[in-house]
Amino acid sequence: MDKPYPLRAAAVLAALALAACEKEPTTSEDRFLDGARGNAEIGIVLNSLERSLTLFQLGDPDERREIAFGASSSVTPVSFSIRGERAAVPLGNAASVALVDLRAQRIDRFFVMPQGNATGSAFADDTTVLAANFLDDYVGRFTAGQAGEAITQTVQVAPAPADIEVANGRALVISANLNESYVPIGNGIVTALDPRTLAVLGTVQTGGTNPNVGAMGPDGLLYVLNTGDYVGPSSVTIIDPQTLQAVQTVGGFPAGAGSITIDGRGMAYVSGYGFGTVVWNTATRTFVRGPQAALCAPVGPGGGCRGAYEAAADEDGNVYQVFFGAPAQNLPPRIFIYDADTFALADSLNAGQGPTAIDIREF
Amino acid sequence: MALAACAVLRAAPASAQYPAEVRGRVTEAGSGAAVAGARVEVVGGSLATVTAPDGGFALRGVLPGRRELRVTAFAHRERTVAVEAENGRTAWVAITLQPRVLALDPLAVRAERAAPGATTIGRAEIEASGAADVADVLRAVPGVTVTREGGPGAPARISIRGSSADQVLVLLDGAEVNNALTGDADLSTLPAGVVERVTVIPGAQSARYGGRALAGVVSVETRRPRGAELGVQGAMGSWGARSAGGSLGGAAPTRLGDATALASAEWRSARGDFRFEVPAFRGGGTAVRANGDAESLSLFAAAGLARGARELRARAEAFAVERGMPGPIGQPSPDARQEQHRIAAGLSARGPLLGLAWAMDADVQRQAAGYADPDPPLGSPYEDDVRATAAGIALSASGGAGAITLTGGGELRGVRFRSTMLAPGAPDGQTLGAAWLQGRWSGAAGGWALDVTPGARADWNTLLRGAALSPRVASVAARGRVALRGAVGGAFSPPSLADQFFHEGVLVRPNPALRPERVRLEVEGGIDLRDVPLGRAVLEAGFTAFRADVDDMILWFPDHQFVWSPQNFDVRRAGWEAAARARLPGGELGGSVSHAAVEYDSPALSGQVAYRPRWTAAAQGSARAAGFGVELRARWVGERRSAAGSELNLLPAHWLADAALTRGFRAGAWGGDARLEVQNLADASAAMLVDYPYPGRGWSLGLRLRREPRAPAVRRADTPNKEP
Repeated sequence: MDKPYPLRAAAVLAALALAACEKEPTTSEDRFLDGARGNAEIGIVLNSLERSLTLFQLGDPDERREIAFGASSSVTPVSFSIRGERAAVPLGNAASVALVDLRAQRIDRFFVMPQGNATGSAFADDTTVLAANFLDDYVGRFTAGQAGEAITQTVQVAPAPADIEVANGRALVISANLNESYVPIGNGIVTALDPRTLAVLGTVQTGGTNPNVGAMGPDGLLYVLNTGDYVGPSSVTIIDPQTLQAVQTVGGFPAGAGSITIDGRGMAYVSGYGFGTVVWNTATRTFVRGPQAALCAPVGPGGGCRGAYEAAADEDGNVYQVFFGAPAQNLPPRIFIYDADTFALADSLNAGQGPTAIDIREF
Repeated sequence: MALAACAVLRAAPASAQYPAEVRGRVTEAGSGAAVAGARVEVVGGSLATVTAPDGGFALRGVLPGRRELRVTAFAHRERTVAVEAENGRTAWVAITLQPRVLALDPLAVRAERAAPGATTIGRAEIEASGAADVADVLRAVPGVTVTREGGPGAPARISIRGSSADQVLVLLDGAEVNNALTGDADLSTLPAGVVERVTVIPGAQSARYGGRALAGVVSVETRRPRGAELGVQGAMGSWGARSAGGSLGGAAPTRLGDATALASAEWRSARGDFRFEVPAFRGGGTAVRANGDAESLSLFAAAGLARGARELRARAEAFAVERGMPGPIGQPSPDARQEQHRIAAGLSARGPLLGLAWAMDADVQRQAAGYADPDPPLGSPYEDDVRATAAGIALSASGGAGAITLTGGGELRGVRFRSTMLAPGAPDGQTLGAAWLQGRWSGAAGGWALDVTPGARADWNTLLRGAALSPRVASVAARGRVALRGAVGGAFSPPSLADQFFHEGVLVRPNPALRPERVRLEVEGGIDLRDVPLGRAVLEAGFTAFRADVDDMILWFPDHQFVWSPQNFDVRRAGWEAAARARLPGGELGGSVSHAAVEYDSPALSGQVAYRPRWTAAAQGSARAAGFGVELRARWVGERRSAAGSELNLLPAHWLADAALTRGFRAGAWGGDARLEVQNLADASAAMLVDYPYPGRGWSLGLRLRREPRAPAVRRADTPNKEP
């Protein structure tokens, strides 16, 4: 027996509604970057072993997306930079840089260097990216819309450039200043470039050896982390990008510190795989949580410290810390979350394989 | 005259010789019981086999003509029967043996009984396949994955049931050829031209073969002198591939026994400059592989002396290869080169003494390899070398009474090595000792022929603490065309010296604390169907399932400082293999499917271990008509994860299909065949390793000529051939 007309109409309407729902995923993908209801922040994690970028909503951490960079073992990314809704991911030994559309969750283009190791990167503007070649000691420049994929505009900088920060129209290239055996030649060097022409504007030595990363503070100063020899204490050198003067070198950071991020309040989060994360106030230049009280997830009930690759804070000051994982000790990679007020370990999230960097922002 | 020429031309294809197959069953006169373990050999040749629990046997690669089979079995009188081996066909023969009640002369069991579930590929099949090396020979064996790093002549390594390459023991006439430092074997250094047969024995086999036989054993036997022969062959193909070789053999009766000798040489060369598709993120399009050339030379000589059940055999082999190391396509190494040399000699003796059957194998081997890159894309220039000298001796004795046979043996092996790749203070040698005992009970119950083989082996190694004890029990129950197999056992594979002691470098570090990999309990079961008639076809099929978890599998992983080093991980490993082959009038069809789940057993890592395909498959078909042969082979490798603990960045699955056209011919005392082959027929993009592409479509043309003694005049067989 045929269904009565109202029921048939209802069925048609239901089918139309379902059809509309089928289009929803596309809309959902577009809206993923807007964050969860009540919390617009997105966490971005670089999974070096998985060769991917993982995005998750802080308000709903199970909502996550992954962007893979390819199966080649020469793809060894360890850092990324973001501007607007684009991310630049240097691919390490693959000597190339992936330009990622975060909203579409796809790789727009790859830009390639002839050889070497692509490490740090920074956006000079919305479409121009600078990338450092750690092995061949140069910085290359490319634009999102350029005709070919080759990075041809380059400038030689101090040996082993590892990171780039851009501030006030200047690109600040942090070189570890290592020889071919990866042994420090001397203190680290920051080379200032004009990002439009790649002209060298000047250089300044950092106050320590083997700097691999830096971060801009809200005070407009560059904070360079001198990792050192992994045995002695690390240090942070504060550099004025305009005068290219080293304002101060602050010692006392734990040995082997490898990452520094600074939030909008001026809190610096310095992380290392031997100690976790220390919190340092750039305004007062004092530790909020020093080496003796570093934020660190315990290995087990007996204590011990899992260490951290990098940490970043959300708007409320909660600290998200990436733990690389230690499979030989059956410790999986995790993102550990510390309370903003007490810095107590509050929660943890799945981190994918080999997380080495994290950023948190709204889009 | 013209008529005569036409007659010769027309006759040539008709007289083309294809190897025949002889199958049959050996039973006991009077009782009709199957005689298991009987040795069946072709008189005057090297072909031999041992009967299965149901008494069945198969001899492949038999030269067409009237042949005599000598059958010897424990507690039975020796018998020789004649059989007609027809051109390219299968002959069937039923053989009865008279039981022998008295105390027996010792049995001469020259070839060790292949383990249940083993796959043997004989000389005729190897020659017919056009294989260049053992890697090519093994590419379609169920459960086996061969990973070649590029085109012709490139290094190639084996995985069995998802194993690492150094968990497979590769033997050349019983002597280990696994690299003394890395533990794996490069199958491209074993040229097919010197191989008599290759046997793949999957599973935990340390109970008989010792360390490294954790996932299986590849036993390569070099050519045995067959008598007077003269052969030459040559080939050419894509990417500058060239080869030429020849063999010369002779036989003569002497006062001490029948003496035979064989010598062969083969040269191969290839430019390896094939075109490949560049991945999109590397710019896309196509490019030509550079520095992929290879040139090798193989020399082989063997001599034998046989008298009754006593046999003495000596062999010497030398191999050298010089080739480029092109590196990953993302970081090509245009100047990296490697050269490898191996020189080996062996002496084997078999015969009865003091009521036991004895076997002795001694070998000495020297391997040298050099690796150099004056301008590497990453890091500093290097020039490394590895030199290893090994000598070993193995002795075994076998005897029994009634249904029970006992075989025991011992091995002693010393290895000395020197390498610039090892850190100062690394050991410069090791001594290995082993003792093993294997029993065998054969009987019958409820109409089933039963065969149970328990065994155990203890291994000592100066680089390991304590002894490793590996037990195994295998059993077969056969009835009619069906055989059921089962086995339980354990195995181990020691960490490689390279993993433990290589020179520490930037972001890589050796791990001297590595523990041996162990399969503590492997459970395997299977079923085989033989000679099942299906219309005009005859079917063979087999199915095997296994579970063989690996404790402390050695895999590379970075630590929290992103320093890569080898570490121990527990891994769950289970799977199955199914294979079937149908022999048809004038052709053959076959195929196999394998599944191997190799998954991390760790809270930190999950899923399939990187680079292990869960699924592999192969299919092949051949047809013969009017002197022509057509072959089609296809291999499928499922997708593989390329990062530990992640399902992202998978390597895609691929199909590779090859086709060949052969034409046999004979002119007087000379016979031979021509072979035109197209590799990668569909021009598919494929790679087993990321950034190491396989070549696209290519071709090769080969020609073989062989002068052999004429087959003896045909006489009626005293035991008529008949189909069962």
